[in-house]
Amino acid sequence: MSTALQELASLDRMIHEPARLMILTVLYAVTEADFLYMQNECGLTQGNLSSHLSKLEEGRYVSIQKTFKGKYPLTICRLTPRGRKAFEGYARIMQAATEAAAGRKR
Amino acid sequence: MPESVSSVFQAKVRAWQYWNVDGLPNITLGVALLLQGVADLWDHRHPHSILPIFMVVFSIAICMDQIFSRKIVGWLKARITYPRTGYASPPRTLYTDPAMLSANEQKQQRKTKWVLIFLVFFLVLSTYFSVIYEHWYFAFTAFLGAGLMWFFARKTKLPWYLPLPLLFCGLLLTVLPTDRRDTQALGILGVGVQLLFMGGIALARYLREHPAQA
Repeated sequence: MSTALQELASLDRMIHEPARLMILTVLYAVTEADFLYMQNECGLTQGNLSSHLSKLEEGRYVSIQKTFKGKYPLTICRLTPRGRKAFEGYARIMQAATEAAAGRKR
Repeated sequence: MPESVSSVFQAKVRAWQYWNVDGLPNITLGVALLLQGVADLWDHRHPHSILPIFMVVFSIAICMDQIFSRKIVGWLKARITYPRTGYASPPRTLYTDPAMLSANEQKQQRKTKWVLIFLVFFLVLSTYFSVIYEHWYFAFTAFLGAGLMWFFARKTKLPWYLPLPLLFCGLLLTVLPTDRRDTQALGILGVGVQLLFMGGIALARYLREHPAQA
C-alpha cells in the first residue's frame, strides 16, 4: 500500500465527520462568518449546526463570539490557528490519497 | 479527475461572490468614481472653486475605506444584507495551497490568476496610453470592456444590458471632441456609472430574492 493511502489512518476524526468537514471548509474560505451564513452554506438545521459547532469549539478548532453589527446581533464563528492547521493537514492527506487511488485505478 | 475532497477553492469563490451579491461594494465604489469624475469636469470649468477638493477628498476616503477597512460597505450591509442572508467576511485571497486542490481546481486557480493579471495589465496600459497619447485609447478600452462584460453576462446569465453604460461612454468619447482632461474625467465617470448600474441591478435582484423578514 502506498504511503499516501497509509496516512489515511492518521486522519483527524473530529474533522472527518461530513457536517463538520463542511463547516470547516466554509470557515477556512472566509475569515469569519455568522451562524445564518453557515446555515445557508452548509444546508444544516439550526440544532445540527449548533451541536457540531459546539463540538468543534470544545476541540478548540473554532472560536465563537456573540457580537453586534449595527443593531443586528451576530454569532460569529472563526477558525482557530489549531483548527486551520488541522484542516490543512486533513485536506492534504485526503487529496494525496484520492490521487493515489485514482492513479492505481488507471 | 475527481474534485478535491474539501473544495476550498469553490468555497472561497462562493464567499467572494457572496460579498458582491448585494451590489453594495460596486455601488460604493461607483459613487467614489462618480464624485472623482464630476470633480475633474467641474475643476476644469471653474478652476478656483473649492467644491472639487471636497469631492476628491470624499472620493479618496471612500476608496481607502473600501481597500483597508470596508466600514462604509459594512455599515450598509449590516442594515440590508446580514439580517437577510447572514454575515461572512470576504476571503483575503482566492489563492489556495495547490496540495489541497484537485488537478481541475489547480487549473481553475491558475486561469483565474492569469485573467486578473491580464485585466490589470490592460487597464494600466490603456490608462497610460490615454494620458500620454490619444483619447481614443480610453474609448477603445470602454468598447473592449463593454464587449468583455457582454460576453461574461451571457455566460453567467446576467442581463444583456449590463454593459450599456460603458458602451455609451465609449460612444461619447468617440463622438465628442473632448480635450485630454475631459477625456480622463469622462472615462472615470463612465466606469463610475457602470459600477453604479451593475450594483443597482445586483441590489434590486438581491432584494427581490430575499425580501425582509417580518
